[in-house]
Amino acid sequence: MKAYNTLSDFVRSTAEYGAIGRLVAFERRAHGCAPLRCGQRNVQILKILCIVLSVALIAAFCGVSHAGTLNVVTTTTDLRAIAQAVGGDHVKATSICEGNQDPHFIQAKPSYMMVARKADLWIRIGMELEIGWEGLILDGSRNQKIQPGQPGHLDASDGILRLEVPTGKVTREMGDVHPEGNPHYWLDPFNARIIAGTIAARLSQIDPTDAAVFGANLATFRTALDERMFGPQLVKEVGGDKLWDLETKGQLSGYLKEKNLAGQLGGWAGAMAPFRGQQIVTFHRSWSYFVNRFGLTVADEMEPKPGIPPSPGHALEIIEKVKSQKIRVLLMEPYYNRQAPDLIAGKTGVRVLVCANSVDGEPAAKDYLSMVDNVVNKVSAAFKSAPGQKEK
Amino acid sequence: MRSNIVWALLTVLLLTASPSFGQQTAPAQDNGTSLEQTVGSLKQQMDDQRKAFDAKMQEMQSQMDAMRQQMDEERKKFDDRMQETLRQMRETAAAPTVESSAEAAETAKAAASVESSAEVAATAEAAPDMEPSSEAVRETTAAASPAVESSAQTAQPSAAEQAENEALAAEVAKAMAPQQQGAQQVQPPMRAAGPGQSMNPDISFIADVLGHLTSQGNKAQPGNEFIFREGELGLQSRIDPYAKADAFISVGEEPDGEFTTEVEEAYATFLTLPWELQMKMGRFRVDFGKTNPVHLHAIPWVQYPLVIQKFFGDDGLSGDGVSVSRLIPNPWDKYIELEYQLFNPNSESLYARPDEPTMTNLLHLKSFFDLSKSSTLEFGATGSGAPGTNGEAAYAEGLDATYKWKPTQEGLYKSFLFQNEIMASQKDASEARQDAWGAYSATEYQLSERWFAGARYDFTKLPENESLHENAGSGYLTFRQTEFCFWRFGYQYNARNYKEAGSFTDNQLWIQLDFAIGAHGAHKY
Repeated sequence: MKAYNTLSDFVRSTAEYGAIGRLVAFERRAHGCAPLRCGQRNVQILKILCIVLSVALIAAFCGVSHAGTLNVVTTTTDLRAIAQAVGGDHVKATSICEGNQDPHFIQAKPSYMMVARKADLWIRIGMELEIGWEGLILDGSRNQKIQPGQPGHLDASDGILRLEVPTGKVTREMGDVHPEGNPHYWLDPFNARIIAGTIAARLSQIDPTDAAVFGANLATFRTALDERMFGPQLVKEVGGDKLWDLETKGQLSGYLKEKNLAGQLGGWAGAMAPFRGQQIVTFHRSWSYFVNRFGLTVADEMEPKPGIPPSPGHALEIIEKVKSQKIRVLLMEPYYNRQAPDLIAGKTGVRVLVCANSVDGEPAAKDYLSMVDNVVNKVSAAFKSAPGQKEK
Repeated sequence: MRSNIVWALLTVLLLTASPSFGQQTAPAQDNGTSLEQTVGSLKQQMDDQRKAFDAKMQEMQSQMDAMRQQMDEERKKFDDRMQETLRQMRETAAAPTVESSAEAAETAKAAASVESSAEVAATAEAAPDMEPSSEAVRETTAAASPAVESSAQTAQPSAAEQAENEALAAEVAKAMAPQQQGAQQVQPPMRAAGPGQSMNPDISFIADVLGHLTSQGNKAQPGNEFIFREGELGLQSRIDPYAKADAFISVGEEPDGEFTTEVEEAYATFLTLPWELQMKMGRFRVDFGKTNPVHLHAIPWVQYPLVIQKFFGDDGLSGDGVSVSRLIPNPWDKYIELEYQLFNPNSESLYARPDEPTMTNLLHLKSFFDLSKSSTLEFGATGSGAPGTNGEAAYAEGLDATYKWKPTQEGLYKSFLFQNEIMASQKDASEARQDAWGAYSATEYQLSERWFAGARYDFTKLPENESLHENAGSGYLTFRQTEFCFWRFGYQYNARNYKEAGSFTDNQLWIQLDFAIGAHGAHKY
């Protein structure tokens, strides 16, 4: 890749010098020797035009090809973090969404089109999460590489474990229900593993020369993820693939007991194990995958239906439920208003836990692993602490 | 002189060619020893991974066989049950219904069996890299095996799938109602879902209903009434890999009570032109300024600003023609778009001539700047003209500036808009040239998740007679129930230096309801 850089730089620089040399010659002839058929002003204008055009062209081409690194644009910060981990030095990943922004309601700013314009690969969450803005940005980008169907357009939901896929007719009477299932799937570490594989495969397709690097990065990412999920000790003894196999079949705890390894379970699974079966209340239906992976259940959501703001009647229902079922934690993203949750906390003593579910949503969530770390730490700490305390 | 031009052209050509030249030759160059090393290690890695891949494939194959067997069994069971229920139905139900239900059963059965066999295929190919385009890559690249791994993993929860199949069979047996839909909807959790797999365009319908109170006494003007202003049927789809189509058919009540149907917009946009050009052709709302291209239901007011109404007609400027646009490259990497449009305008616009079609040219420049992550600034400039010889020429120019604020974290609850536009026109009227101008300034503030308050001030001269002018002030309160429905309360006070419907001033009070069904449209910024 280095050689590529120098060579293309060389070619470009000769072209530039050549261009400038020619401009100088052009100028000399215009000023000096040759008798001017047209007025000198015309030549001047032509000269300026020519310079402007050359500069614009140089600028345009310098801007387009950053030799050696793939420009990856993702819709969310989580995809950006995973793409960056898999791509390593060969990828420059940018996200459209900020980590503390509700990804449903992004406005298709023209500046996003400028970001997408230079992308070699566009990665989306899919499942209609970006339905309100993705198309406008892609059309506006005028970038043929990243249109749906092209190798430069990747839907990260391909092959993931989907939850809450509606089986009947979906209507808007149900609120903001996505016909292809709940799109907040990145909160399941198992899915992050699949997403990383999907991205690595696509990066290798676009840039086959670096396929080995992407493969190695993927392996590193998966090992790190497995160790955080189950603890390094257990991964060493059993192996990450086997552990996930057992976990997804629901046979992990049985297997560990059988092999006398139950004490070895560390990581997120270990931290969350004591709280299996616990009920929580969430704000939006966005924690389903996390809850599913770690054996919690969502008793209710602040929103009466997905995307419909909390109503007083529904808040009363939740207060009843929290009281009768002794629910201790109310989990919500930073971008929702905590007025209604605080009201319920005041009436019941449930703990309002504001927690980012995306990378960069809070300072502690720097990359994918630290983002899940942060969620697990906060949730387990909230369960551990006595109910009746409010988080400040 | 001519040779100068030739030199300039050559320079440009050389510049254009150089980067691609560099790209083509570059990979051949690489430094020696480290290359060999990397190739060696690469080969080894690839061999290892290929072995792993083969093993996984075999494992998968055996899993697949098992699954296929299970599926066959399921299908047999299902068919048996179907036949049994059919027999029962025949026995119990009356003759005509038997026929129809048998038909329904047949189709349901067909759909279900097709579905189940499709499911096998789908789970087999759930791995994201199994697309034909990437199959070649899978053979050569090392990174393919992880993806196959994921497919092996996705194949695991087949038990759940089967439970679901059983549930489906039971459901079908229980009720012979239109089950085809149910059969289509039940799917293993891993499969990309099927809605929207048809070639039908995205269809939406947006209705705009207005309750209108006015102080104007004149019966010829819309008085105190409810009016179905517009029902807009939207059809949007890709035409082919090169173009997309947008069509909006509008049905509405005119002020005189007549209902009219018209093609509001219908155009094809060509998205894959060279040099990042985009072209559209058909009937479209003309890109004059910021507000004119926006549909009635998407503006933050009840009516278009006065200046647009007086210059271009109540519904704004639209035309039949062609439009070409390009992004202008600039060192700051900002969004700057230049657009040229050539069109025959609608009959109410200032360019229109009674006896012949008017060809109108328009040049529009749009620029966009991010001041911060939460605030943006947009500037636009428009120039347009319909030249003519015998006292018919008309020209119009416009400038627009828009400031928007929406914080990233609290964006659901807070936003602010400040939008301004000024326009000028020159029209050769029968006696003398009329130089008119008009402007509006509007603001909107989001009070909470669903409530928005806004205000607008309007001033405009009439393009046909520069001595006449009108101004207005209006206020709005909007309740956005959901993305798909809003209520708006509006009040407007108009004052003129001429009489309209017998009065210099009037007060208007509105209640507006807009609702949208069908495809989820995207909103322009």
